[in-house]
Amino acid sequence: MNREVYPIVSWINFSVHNYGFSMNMILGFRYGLLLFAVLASLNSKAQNPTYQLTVESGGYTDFKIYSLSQYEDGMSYTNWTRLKIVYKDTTSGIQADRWYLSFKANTTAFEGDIPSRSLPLDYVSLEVESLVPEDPAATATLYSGPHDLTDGFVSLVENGDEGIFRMNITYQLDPTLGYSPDYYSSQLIFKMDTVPIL
Amino acid sequence: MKKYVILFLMIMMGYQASSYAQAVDDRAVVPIAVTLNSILRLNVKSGGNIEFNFNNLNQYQDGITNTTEYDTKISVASSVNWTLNMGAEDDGLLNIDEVSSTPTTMNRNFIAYSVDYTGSRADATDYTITAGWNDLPHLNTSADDIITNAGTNAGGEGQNAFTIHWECGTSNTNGGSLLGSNLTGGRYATNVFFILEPDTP
Repeated sequence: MNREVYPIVSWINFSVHNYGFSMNMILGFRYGLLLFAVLASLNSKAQNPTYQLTVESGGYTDFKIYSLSQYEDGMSYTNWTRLKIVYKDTTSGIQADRWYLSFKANTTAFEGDIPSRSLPLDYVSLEVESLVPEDPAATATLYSGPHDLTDGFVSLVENGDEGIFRMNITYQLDPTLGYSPDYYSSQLIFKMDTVPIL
Repeated sequence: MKKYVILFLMIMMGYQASSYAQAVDDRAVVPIAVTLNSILRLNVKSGGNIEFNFNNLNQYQDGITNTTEYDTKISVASSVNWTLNMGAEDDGLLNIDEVSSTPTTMNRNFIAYSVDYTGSRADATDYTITAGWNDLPHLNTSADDIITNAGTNAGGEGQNAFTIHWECGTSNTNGGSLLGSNLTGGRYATNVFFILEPDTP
């Protein structure tokens, strides 16, 4: 017998003594109650949240510079990449989290095929042109304007509601006149976070 | 004790709740690249064939000074900084009317050149241009870097435009007057090569 939990028996004694239950029954009920409480708490959180970040189109971006005007003016790809963001809680009916979207490059610079050559990351910027929820009532806060590419995460969207969102992303390359011809590459990482609503 | 038990249960339930309220993330990767194709072009827009005709003794005496007829206009279109090099193919101008393995030659120092910037930049501080009048150099032994980068000279042909002025037998040449030079009559010629090179990164 676990004497440490005895007081709970005393606590429930009031309701069971009047019905003539034995001590063993009371103790069994005690453990049952404890088990029920824990299982109930488990069951209450058995949600089925769906969160997904998908590149629907524009999964590869290559600025091809072949004229001096492109070297001097830069170039842009408008609405080049379309992202789909899904965040749904299919069981609780109550939104438990909010989602955030950020991006970064996985290198410190665009690396040329010739190892000594590189192009700074901030020559490329990206901007969310449109953020459209399937449910018009759903909202998210968009960091508008162009954002330079860096090797640290930069926020694009925050406090997203539950639902399905699509966003178009435009890329801009600054003038590269003076840089040696080469193939400079990196990888752009989009990250969707969900954070519990406190 | 009852309070402790209730507290314990609340902590347990809170723990269960917190164990499910974790932050999650998903990621997507988009390869991103910049392909820079090389642009490096030299255009000789006019004055691709310069010929000095000495028809009278004054010209022999004083040489033929520069006029627009003796100008070569060039332009450079380049995506990177560059250097323009120039030199004559031969050590001297060859008498092309002679059939000989050792034809008569005219010394290169009878030919002089100077370079002016004629592009659209506000000033020519992006260039180091060889100054004053200089003898025609030899490609293999003394070719001149007539224009080099002094800032950012990458750009279009409108920005990178130059005029090369030529003279022959004048006081601006080290060879000086052709009068008394003992050159026989004839046509003396050589090719002048312009070599445009990208600066190393």
